[in-house]
Amino acid sequence: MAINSKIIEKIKEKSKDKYQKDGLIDILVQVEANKQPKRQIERVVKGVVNKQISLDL
Amino acid sequence: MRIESVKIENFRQYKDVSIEFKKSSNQENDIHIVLGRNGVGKTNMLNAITWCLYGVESHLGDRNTAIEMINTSYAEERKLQGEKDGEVKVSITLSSETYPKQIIFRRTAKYSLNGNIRQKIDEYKEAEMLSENDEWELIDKDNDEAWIGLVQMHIPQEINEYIFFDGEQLQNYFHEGSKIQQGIKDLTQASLVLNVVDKFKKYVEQELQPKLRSCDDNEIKAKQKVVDDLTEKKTTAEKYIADFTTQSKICEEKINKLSAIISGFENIKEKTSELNAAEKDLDDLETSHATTKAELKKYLVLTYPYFALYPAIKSFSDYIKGQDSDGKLPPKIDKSLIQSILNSNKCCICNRDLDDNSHNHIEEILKQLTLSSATSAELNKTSTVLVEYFNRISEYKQKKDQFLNSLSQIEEKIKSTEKKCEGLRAYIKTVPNSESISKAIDDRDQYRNAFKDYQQKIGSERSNLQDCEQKLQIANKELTDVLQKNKSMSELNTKIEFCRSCVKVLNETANEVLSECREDMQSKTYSLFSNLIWKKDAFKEVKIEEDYSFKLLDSFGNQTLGSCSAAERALLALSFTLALQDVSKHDSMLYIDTPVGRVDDENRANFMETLLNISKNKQVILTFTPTEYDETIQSVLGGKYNSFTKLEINEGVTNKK
Repeated sequence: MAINSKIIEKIKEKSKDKYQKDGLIDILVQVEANKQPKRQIERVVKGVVNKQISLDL
Repeated sequence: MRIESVKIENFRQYKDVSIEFKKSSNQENDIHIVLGRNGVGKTNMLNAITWCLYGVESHLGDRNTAIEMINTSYAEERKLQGEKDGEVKVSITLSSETYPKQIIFRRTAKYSLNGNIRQKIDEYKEAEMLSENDEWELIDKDNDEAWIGLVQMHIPQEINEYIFFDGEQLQNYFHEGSKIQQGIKDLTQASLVLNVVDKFKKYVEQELQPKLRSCDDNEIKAKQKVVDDLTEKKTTAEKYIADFTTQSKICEEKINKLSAIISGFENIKEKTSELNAAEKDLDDLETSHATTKAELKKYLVLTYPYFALYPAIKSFSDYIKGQDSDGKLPPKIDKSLIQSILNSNKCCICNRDLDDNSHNHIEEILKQLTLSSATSAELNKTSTVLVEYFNRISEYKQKKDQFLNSLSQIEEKIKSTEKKCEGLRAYIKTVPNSESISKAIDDRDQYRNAFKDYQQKIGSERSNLQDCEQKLQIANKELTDVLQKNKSMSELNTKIEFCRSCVKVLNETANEVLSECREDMQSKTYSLFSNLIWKKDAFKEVKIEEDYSFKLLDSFGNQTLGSCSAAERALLALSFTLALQDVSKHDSMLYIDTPVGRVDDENRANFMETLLNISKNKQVILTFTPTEYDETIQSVLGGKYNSFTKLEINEGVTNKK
């Protein structure tokens, strides 16, 4: 099932950057589909942090 | 979402009945009628549906006294065939505009049939869905999560009562705000967002923070401990606030319910106490009247002899006065003064010593005085007593008047108090069940005190929480600063910071979505309700509180939900359901069992027209008894239904006619 457009809109509006927004929506989709959300969170956190660190550098 | 068909096998009255609710392309209205007498199994069809979807017969009269759901005739036949068990099966086919286009839910209960005992020994469910490739995909029997996910997506259990209406149970619809709240969370996907919040928190607590705690840097450890302690304090304060808020809400609900009972008779308690006080005053006044009367009587008895003896006393007194005025009574000389002059032998005027002549003369006076004073003393004594007699007689009128005045004052007071009591009794008589209203007032006072108490506690905990949050912010900042100094921990810290920021974004998102949804539902419900209701000015506002408790306010702002008519409640429930479906964008159907059961003849046409209108946009399934399906209903429907199913019961088994 698709994620409610209102939720996507609000996450987009509140997220610090594109990586956080995409990561959060990705996690919501995974959790909704019951597909190992913990691993997904780990992956997103790691990915976003790496991207942020590389951006900071 | 529509129900395409329902197949019921061996469930209560049903042995093998399939009903289709197809929509034909040439009909504007997606409305379906099921007709059957009482007891034919209309409500049990609803039970079959909810049992299939949720495993619960939501519309059962009394779960404790209901017989097992396996059809009796079928069970007997199985036993005659020598079978030791039998199966109850219900399957529902749903269709949807979005993927999956069709789903079939099937639930089966297996019963053992030993003698007269029928016992459920197993229950299992399966679902099939039409995939995007138009292929049927079977959901694994053991995949509970997938089943629940599919059901919740189409008809969330928490709000199933707002989709499968039981016309007879409308009074319960607005009582369980928490159920509605959960349903809204599911429908808006706020629960999904909050679920992710939990997962982030768990990830931080279970994966990231333990790494921080196990690092070798003592400074980090110390700072982390401060953060942990403050977080625990914050959680405790939040828990207390949540608990006290729940208790406050309970008190508030009770206060509202009691206020509805008391409404219009607010001063009954004061009036009752006033009556009690007046009745006590009356008793005291009666006692005081009796005492004063007795005192008057006693006074009269005591005064009577004075009047009886008055002529004799008067004549005796006049005689003494006459003797006195004629100078026949000796002068009144003070014997003791003369004696003291003799004793001191000095003149009491010039203080000169008495000579013998003077002394003898005074002695002579004293002698004479002693002889005449016996009579004089008696007369003087009598005279004094007579004065008392006359005083008694002269004060009689005044005293009697005093008694009579106070008696008349008491009688006046008795009269006015009796009048007051009568008035109060007459008022209390007009109040139905005044004792229970007085009790309700007492109870409400107690709940009000408890409410105030909880509000104070909430205030104090909020201040604690604010304090904790400020300290935590500082502690987190300090921890971050320390972590940044330590290169190996820096990445971990960035991860924690990122997770915290995600939790903040998600929490704000969920709260805003829920709050907007609640406000939309509030205005949408009122707008739908005011369009449907025929008494346009009776209601001013629909209020849905944060905990989804429901208020229907009249033009004075009073809660009127409890005093609404059955038809008004039915319309309000319907408006709420439509608003819920509209605001949450949840595409659902409506199934209403006996929709006009509690609606009087006058309003049936209005109600039916409303439902017919609704059926232009969504599937509406209605069940009627032949009496309810009267000419009014038929004329409004005008044959615009898509399907018409008549059920009849024969030897305990329901069939389609």
